[in-house]
Amino acid sequence: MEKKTYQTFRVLIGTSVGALIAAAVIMENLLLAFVMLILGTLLSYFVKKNVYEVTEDERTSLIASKASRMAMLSFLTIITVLGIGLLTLKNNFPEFTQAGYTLSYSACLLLLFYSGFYAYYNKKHG
Amino acid sequence: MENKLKVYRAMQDLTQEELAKGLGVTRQTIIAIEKDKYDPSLILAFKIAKFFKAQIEDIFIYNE
Repeated sequence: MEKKTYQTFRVLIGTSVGALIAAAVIMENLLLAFVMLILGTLLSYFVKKNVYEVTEDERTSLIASKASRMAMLSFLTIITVLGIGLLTLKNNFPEFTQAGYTLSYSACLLLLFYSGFYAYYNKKHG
Repeated sequence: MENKLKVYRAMQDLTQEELAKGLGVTRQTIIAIEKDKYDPSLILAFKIAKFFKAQIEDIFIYNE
């Protein structure tokens, strides 16, 4: 399969899966939405497997890693500030206390994952 | 880091697509290298030099 054909398939699969998941959510059938997501992922995987042209190389990996890192740092900063902010103001806004705890613990978990993966790759690459 | 990739490609009358296929990278990577927007890894630099049967220093110019 050529790269252009693969890109067309990717748009079609993304659009179809997105529409089906939206329909499933409207029908309040979350199991169907989950199944559609899994099917869409599997379909994308098998379509990509049949592409004979190079779609990813060292440059795309570098871009993806930089984008991922920036996205993670931005998200971590936002949820940390929000979480701490909501917990600080728990006397004024008690209804948001649970949200504050959730955000704060999520930030801690994300930091834990990042530290773990960083240590692993640091050891792997000497 | 500057490079003479476009010159070497023209010397062998290759398109960016053909060079990308020969090196096992995407055409966008070749474009980025030729525009000095991306510095290839050591492995890719060696592959490029081997492809053109030249030395790395002939193709890539390191400026401090």
